[in-house]
Amino acid sequence: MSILEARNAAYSYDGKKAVLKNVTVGFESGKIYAILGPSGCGKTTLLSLLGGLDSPTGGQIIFDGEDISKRGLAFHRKNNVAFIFQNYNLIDYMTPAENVALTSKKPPLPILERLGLTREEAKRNVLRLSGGQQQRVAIARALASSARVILADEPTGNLDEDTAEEIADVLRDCARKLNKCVVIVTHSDKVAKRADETVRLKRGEIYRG
Amino acid sequence: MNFAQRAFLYVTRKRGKALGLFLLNFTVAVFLVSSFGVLNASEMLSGDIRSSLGAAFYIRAKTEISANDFGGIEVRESGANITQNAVDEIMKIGGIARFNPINYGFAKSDEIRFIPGDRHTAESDMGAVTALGFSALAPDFADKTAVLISGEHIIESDRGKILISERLADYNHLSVGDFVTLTHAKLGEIDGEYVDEIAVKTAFYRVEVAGIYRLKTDDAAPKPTAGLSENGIYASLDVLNELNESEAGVYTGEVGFFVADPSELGGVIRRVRAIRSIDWSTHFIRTNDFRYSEISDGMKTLGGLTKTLLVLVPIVGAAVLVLMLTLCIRGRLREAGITLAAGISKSEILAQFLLEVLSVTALALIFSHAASLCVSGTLERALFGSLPGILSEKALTAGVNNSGYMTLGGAKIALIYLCQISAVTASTLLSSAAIMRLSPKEILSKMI
Repeated sequence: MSILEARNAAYSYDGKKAVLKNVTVGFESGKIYAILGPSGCGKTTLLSLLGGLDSPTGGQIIFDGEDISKRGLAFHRKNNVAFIFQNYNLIDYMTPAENVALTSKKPPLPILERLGLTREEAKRNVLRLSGGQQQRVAIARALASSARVILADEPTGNLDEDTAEEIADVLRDCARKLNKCVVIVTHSDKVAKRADETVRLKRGEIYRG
Repeated sequence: MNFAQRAFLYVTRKRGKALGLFLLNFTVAVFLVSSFGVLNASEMLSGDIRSSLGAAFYIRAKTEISANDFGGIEVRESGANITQNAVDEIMKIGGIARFNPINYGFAKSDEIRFIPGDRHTAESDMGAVTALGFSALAPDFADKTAVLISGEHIIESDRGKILISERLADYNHLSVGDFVTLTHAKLGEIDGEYVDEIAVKTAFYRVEVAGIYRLKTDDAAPKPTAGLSENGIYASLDVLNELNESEAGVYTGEVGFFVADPSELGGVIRRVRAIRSIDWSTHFIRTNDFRYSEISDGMKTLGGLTKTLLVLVPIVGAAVLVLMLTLCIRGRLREAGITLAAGISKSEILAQFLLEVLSVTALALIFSHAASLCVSGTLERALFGSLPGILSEKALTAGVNNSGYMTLGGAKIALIYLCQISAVTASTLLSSAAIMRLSPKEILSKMI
């Protein structure tokens, strides 16, 4: 059963240019999904709608059987989903531990250590970490939250191939071991190969071909 | 992590930005408090110039100056004097705050050795006595040639009190509260020697040293002991009466009349000259406006400058504050996007921004208060330190002390700080509005 679902979701700017057209797709816990497609096909827009960063102009986004607009998008963002971005989006005046503690009351060090950061690295300013380490901090922040769905927008886009594969493995482990639903928007075939399922978008529609 | 913890981390980690905000708030607060202090002072002074600084005219008997047989200059009094009746008549015309009669004489004491002057002898060991109603109104104190350094000035109701110079006090190991017995004396000159013309002493009076003054100038030419300024004794009016050198209600020296409003001086003098019971052929009037005309021009200029400053400082300060806060908060678009994506509400983000700005502002205001006191004190000394506010009740007993003009009351300072805090809050809200209007997706799309 899908924990997160887009039902006939549509999105257009100013009611004219349709970015998404009646997209229906579901995502289950314990699985990792890759959303693929050419640039401008609506991948990031779909992720934004799934994460409650914006409202669809048509259709619904359903979480655990309930339209997310009922409790409000902020509630959905705070309680149901966690984001990982291509450019890490860490708060630059905080340490990795503080970034992880931003939305979670869990102790941040065990999570960071599990993702390969030392205690000393966890107390440095985030800007003094490598790109791979920063993305691990972003993943740790997502994992530390109570969210059951992790939405990742090009999480390996700024990383070299080896690090990208490592990050993809980490995300796959999260889905399997922690029973999270991980949805990744990516251009990378190597990342897509690690997904349990792939969703292809073309001109705002699910591509079944 | 709540908004207060995030605000604390921002302020302590982004020290450069926090310091910039601190300095801006600090500078604006110091300027505002100092400017309002100057305005406050100019307002108080304009009132005090009329009521405290005052102006004066003095009436005294005319003197005749002629060459004597030895080739020197001889000064002869006309024999005229001013009676209490004449004083009462002058006081009736109105506009006069106080009068200060002065009698002159000499005194000796077995307990005082005067500082030796030219051709000093045991017989000429005496000092000149100026007996008056208010010593603070004596010309030397009014023009600050003499300054009271301890004790209190003589006032009209005092009896048996004297002021002596610092040097005379040191010379005789006298201090405020000590008593000495004075006796009458009269300086004369026989065969080139200074003598005491009162050979047999019959009048004695025990007086208390009520105050000690310091002279700012030294006697230039050689003078007899009794002529040295440092041997001068200011005394309550009764002292010369008790020493049989003057008569109660008859003033042989001069009488000073102090006009409360300096701008009225001319009119008051015209009315005084119209009093027919005073023989103006034997009396003359001299005036002193205590530099009122100079001060009033300066005050007008100062008032104008302060008002300009008061308009400019808040406008420039607020503009810089808004600009800096706008730049600062717009630069935090990325952070707002991250926190919004993490489910932190817009109101919590706004609360964080406000708490950061207000905590730094509060700190700046605390430090600015201490700095404002220093700046106000310095400005006060520079601008108002030399003004002779001689007619205030405080000045009559403690001497002139122009302090407190720039000191703002707690309520005024609180109001200034409240206005600044309101401006900072409004600036933060306005600057944040640009971010808060955007949806999280719009913010995140701007971040990439």
